[in-house]
Amino acid sequence: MYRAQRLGLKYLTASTVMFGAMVIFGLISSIYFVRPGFLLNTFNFSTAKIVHINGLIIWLLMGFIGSIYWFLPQELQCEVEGIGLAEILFWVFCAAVAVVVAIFIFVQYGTASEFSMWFINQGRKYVEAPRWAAIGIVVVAAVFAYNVIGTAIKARRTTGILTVLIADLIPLLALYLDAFPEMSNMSADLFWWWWLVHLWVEATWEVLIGCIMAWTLIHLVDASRRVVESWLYVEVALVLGTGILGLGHHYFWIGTPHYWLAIGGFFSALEPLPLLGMVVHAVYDAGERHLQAANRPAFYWTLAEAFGNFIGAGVWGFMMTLPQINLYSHGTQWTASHGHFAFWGAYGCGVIAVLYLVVERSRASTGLDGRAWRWSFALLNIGMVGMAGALLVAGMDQAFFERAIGGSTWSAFLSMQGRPWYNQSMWARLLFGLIFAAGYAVLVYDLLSIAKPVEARVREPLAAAGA
Amino acid sequence: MYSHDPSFWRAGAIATTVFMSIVLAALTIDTLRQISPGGPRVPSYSVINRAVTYEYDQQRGEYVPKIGGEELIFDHKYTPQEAAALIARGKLVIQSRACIDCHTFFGNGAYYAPDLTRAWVDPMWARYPARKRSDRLAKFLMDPLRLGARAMPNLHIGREEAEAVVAYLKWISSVDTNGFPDRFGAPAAQ
Amino acid sequence: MTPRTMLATALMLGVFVTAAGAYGLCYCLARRSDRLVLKIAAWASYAALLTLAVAIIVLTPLHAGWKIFVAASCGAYVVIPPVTWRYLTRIHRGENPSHAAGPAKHPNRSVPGLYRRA
Repeated sequence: MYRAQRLGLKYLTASTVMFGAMVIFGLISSIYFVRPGFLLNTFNFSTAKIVHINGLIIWLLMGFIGSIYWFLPQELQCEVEGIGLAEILFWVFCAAVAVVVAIFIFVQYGTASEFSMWFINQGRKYVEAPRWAAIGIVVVAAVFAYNVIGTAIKARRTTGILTVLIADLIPLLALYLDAFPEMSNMSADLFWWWWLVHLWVEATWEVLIGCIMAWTLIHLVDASRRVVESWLYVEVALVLGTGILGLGHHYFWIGTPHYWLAIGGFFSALEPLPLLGMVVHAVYDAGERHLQAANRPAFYWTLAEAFGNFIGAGVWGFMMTLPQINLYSHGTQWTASHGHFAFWGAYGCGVIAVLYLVVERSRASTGLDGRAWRWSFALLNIGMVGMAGALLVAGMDQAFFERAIGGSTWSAFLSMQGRPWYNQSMWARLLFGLIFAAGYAVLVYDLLSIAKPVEARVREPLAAAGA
Repeated sequence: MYSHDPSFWRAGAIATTVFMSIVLAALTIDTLRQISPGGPRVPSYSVINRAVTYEYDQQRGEYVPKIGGEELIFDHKYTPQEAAALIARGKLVIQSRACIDCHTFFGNGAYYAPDLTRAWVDPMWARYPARKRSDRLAKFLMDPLRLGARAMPNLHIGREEAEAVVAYLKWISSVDTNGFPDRFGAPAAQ
Repeated sequence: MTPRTMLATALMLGVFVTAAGAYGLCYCLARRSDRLVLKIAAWASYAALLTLAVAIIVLTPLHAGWKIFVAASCGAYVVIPPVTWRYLTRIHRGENPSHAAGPAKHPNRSVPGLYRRA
């Protein structure tokens, strides 16, 4: 095994730990909705929420980085350039995450000063990390980019997938620089903030996981590189073709001009069309394999991704994306429902598929197809569907009573909190959250038990690189 | 067969990306011009010295903020420089207390607490004249009361910080948001 | 838009896309196993999709542009599954001409896809 692959394993382990942290803080966050005075002034909702959503970003990011460190040396048949530096930075990254989480939990917030921005909390959703930590992320990402590009230069060759990845790392890094500014004007602040959040999540991350899934499929089912690369290009065209201007659906109500209603609505309403193509593709491949693959868990998780993506992003998105509906659904639990489902479908399932693939290749060679992965697969997916469903009911109730009838005032918001459907949905969300957490526990148990290090070994890549 | 050749699809991907990026860049330039303070959609910061309401506009068919005559907060008329400094300060308070991780601004945030886009003109506060309203809002921020089913935590906001936030909320309520939120306060008026 | 029509419209839009998904799924399964019941299910899903499109166009207060969009996407949804299917079959054949007869016969050379995006 290459050193970079060992590093990849470390990143994937850290990613799984952060996944757990996200689940725990998500559960804590959901308690505040059913017990409004919960830990008031001690550990406020905002603190739990910050750790929950930053945990989400970090577990996925670590999952992506780990997967790429895993696949890259196999792709180019050589050790990753600058691997020593990358190994050091892994520990720096973990330490920084731990320090930031500790600051969020124990310090929570500061006074209105530059000191708070630099060392406590920047208070911008998803990028709350204080500036020093944000700089740290830039350093980690820059070294990561150097590893990838340097290895391609050292190997004196590249492949289609790797070229897409390299091209994607540049905007990925550049957009993150958007995590620092502190602008008086909320409209401009949110305008740029969405460049970071949307263009990361719905453009550069999509391309990144597209590359990772391309490698996964080459290794998982011996897919033809030529076909996978064609699909990757088609996917990049579709993702960026609709995703770049799909940014407009965040510019309906933040003070930006009227034309964004038409542009954003149109491009985000286009999104279900390619997603249907992806479902067709998934069914085609599943039939090809007769639902059999050497690594069934990884295979089923890739299938779950296609369907989760269609429902979470396609159906949920189309329901609420037209401006006339969004005027009422925006900023309710409806949005939260869509966010949970779409993140899970688009990224969560994919990272879990990679986890199973890597566990198979690095540790176990047999015994993957046990009972535990089925339980975790079922519990996680049922938990997620249940949470998204409960939040959808709560959000529709809110859009109806608080927004459309109540006129969105504070008193409409407050009277909403007493409505039975809203409250019962919040209880249901907590219940399904517990089911999801149980699924996570089984997942960890399964990964640990099938990964008992009998003999560390790694198979040769099945497809010749650059064929 | 062209569809068998990855380079055909690669060219398509590059062309699409470049085209969409150029369109986005052009729209960004225009949008930034329109949303800069004092531009057609976002009033300058000195709007905190003027009356702000949020009313239904027959012509546009949606709710629109309306800027009226002089209406001071905290009995003080802010110069443009003072107003800009106060708004910058208010934003810093909002970020340092991570307001957006419970509340929402323009509907963006954490959906746990009320939207703050029109807090200044909310019937709960707008029943007070501006001078009293600014004072009450500041006191609320410094020592939040229990409101309905939800309580806001005490985030140790000082008087001077609270005044900056109140000014910020007044300014943000004057931003033209294409009619979001709709029917604001209409039931209360009926 | 009244509160009731807002919720009804949103639900119709959601079910519209769900029907498209059901049509795509059943279409593929029917292509795969050639069972009559799946073919019927596919066309029933598409009929439901068309009914919903008509309902959205006639009953909802959406602006004309969005109604045209919904009508146009009915046309797109009906062709996406067969066109994608044909493309997949052709690209497999091009990749592996000796096994061109039937994709199900050569599971070792499957071409899994990148069925994902948001």
